[in-house]
Amino acid sequence: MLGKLLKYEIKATAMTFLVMYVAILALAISNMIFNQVKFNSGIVITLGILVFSFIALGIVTIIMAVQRFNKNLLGDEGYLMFTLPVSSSQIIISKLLVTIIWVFASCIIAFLTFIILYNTYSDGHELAQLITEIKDNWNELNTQLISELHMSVYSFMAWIGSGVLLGLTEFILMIYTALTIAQLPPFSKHRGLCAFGIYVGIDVVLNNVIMTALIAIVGINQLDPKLIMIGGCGFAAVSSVILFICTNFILSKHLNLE
Amino acid sequence: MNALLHIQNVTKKYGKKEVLKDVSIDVSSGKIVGLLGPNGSGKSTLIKLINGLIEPNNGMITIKGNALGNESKKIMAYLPERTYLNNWMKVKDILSFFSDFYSDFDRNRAEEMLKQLNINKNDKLKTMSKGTKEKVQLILVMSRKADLYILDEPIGGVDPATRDYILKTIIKNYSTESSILIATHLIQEIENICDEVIFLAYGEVVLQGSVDEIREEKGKSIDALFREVFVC
Amino acid sequence: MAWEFNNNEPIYRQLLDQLKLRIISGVIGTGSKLDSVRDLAQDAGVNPNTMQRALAELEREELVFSQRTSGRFVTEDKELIQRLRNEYAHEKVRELTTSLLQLGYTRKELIELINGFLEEVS
Repeated sequence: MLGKLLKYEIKATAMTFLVMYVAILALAISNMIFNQVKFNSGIVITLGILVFSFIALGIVTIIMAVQRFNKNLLGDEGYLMFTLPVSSSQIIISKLLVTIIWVFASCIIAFLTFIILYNTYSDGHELAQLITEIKDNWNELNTQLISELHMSVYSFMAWIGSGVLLGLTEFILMIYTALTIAQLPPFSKHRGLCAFGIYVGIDVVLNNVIMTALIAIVGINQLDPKLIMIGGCGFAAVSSVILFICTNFILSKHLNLE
Repeated sequence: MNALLHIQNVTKKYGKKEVLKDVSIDVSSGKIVGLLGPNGSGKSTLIKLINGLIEPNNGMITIKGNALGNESKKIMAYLPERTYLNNWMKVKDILSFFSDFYSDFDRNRAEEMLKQLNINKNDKLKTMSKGTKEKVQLILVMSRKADLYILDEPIGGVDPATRDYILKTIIKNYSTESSILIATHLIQEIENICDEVIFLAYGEVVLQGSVDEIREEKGKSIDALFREVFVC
Repeated sequence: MAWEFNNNEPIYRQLLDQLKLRIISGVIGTGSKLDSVRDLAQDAGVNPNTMQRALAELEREELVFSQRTSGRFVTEDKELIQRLRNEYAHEKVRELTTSLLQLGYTRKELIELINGFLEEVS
């Protein structure tokens, strides 16, 4: 059933993202062509819009995450979604996963754009050269990391990757939790405002208050980069689980559809 | 007794206000039951409870002897008063959606009914009028071979021809293994198709019984009786 | 023949009467097969259980009989149908004459009235 939820969630959001991806890649390619024909105003315009597009992509992703949750679950569509033979946790996970998938896809598009732009702007210093340079420095990077952090480049990248992923998950779940709390009776008359306020509240408590407290407990002198990395991941993971449980609890026991 | 739908001493409060007070109802298979009551009687709350959208403060609800959950949702078909359709799908997409999530969904039947009501599969839900969307929702629900159908105001705000079509479809869907619960305030129109009716007022069951028995006993239609009981 | 219901009376009895009417008037022919309970209920716009009750009563009165696999059939007993037809006609005449006599019509006026109506119709 989760697979089916994922399928329809992707279908519901695909158009928006694919259109933006195509536009971004088209801009990058146009920029490349304009560079070759020396159409200067074209170069500047496409570059400008490209930068703006990535900012827009980020904003649209956040808006989509909010919209898909709010409209599909907390509005009239909720009458359909919550009477399907699926659990509320499956519903939450499907939306979370699809948002993460689009962020990941956006990163791939960003990477492709980077390659196109790099190709355009590094006269002589081709991509193949860049790759060779990275390979040459790899071992040196590896040795340095092992001596300072006791981990190879691969595990370092894995930890960073996990940290980003967990941080993203926590961010999205924080949005979901704020939205579900805001639909409860005391807040439901001013859902939008309350959701925003609650989001800020949760963010402050989790990421500022609690984290500062933890750091104080551990002691500022004891902080080494490795501990920060692993601790950060752990903290994001635990926060995510707590936020998920809150959201799931409210949706299954205190759904306030009107 | 393994009634299809068993509601036992259910109470629901919103804050201090008791919206449903100690409600007990049994619906056995093979029945068409009318749930009648004015606005504020607790009808919609009761329906949300039966569908598992909210939980009671007290008491319990079982479907075929089992607590509400995924298993009961598989055998229940709910037609809410509101439009629950999204606006990015076409009609054929929502048919696929129902086929995917409900194993008892009869797609052929749905397509047949769409044809009868002149609704094109390729139309976008976004462009449809409210009335057409309601028809689509009805078709989706009636194309399921569920054990319990819950229809919330299925004939409110439709033209007489569509109303007749809907009532005939409800009769057509009848089977001894399933039951249909119809919540409505249009009593006159559904009296004849109901086996039993339940009057709900101020969160309590005021009357429950077979249509014919009530008519025999009170010498008047359910509609007339309702107007008496709920004098404005 | 259209179904007509008075919501103030139990449907079951009204169904029984109207089914009988259809049989004795030949709308549903002697020995013919009845539609299924569901089709009849749909046509009449009534609950299938109630229709089933009415049909069961018709069976008890031997106006219809059911053959296990084939369905329900109207009786071939022409005498029974004729008898019921006569009873129905008798009742209608009784109603008519009683109410008109009460109104003060004489026997002669009554017969003139009926003849006049019959001429109009033909």
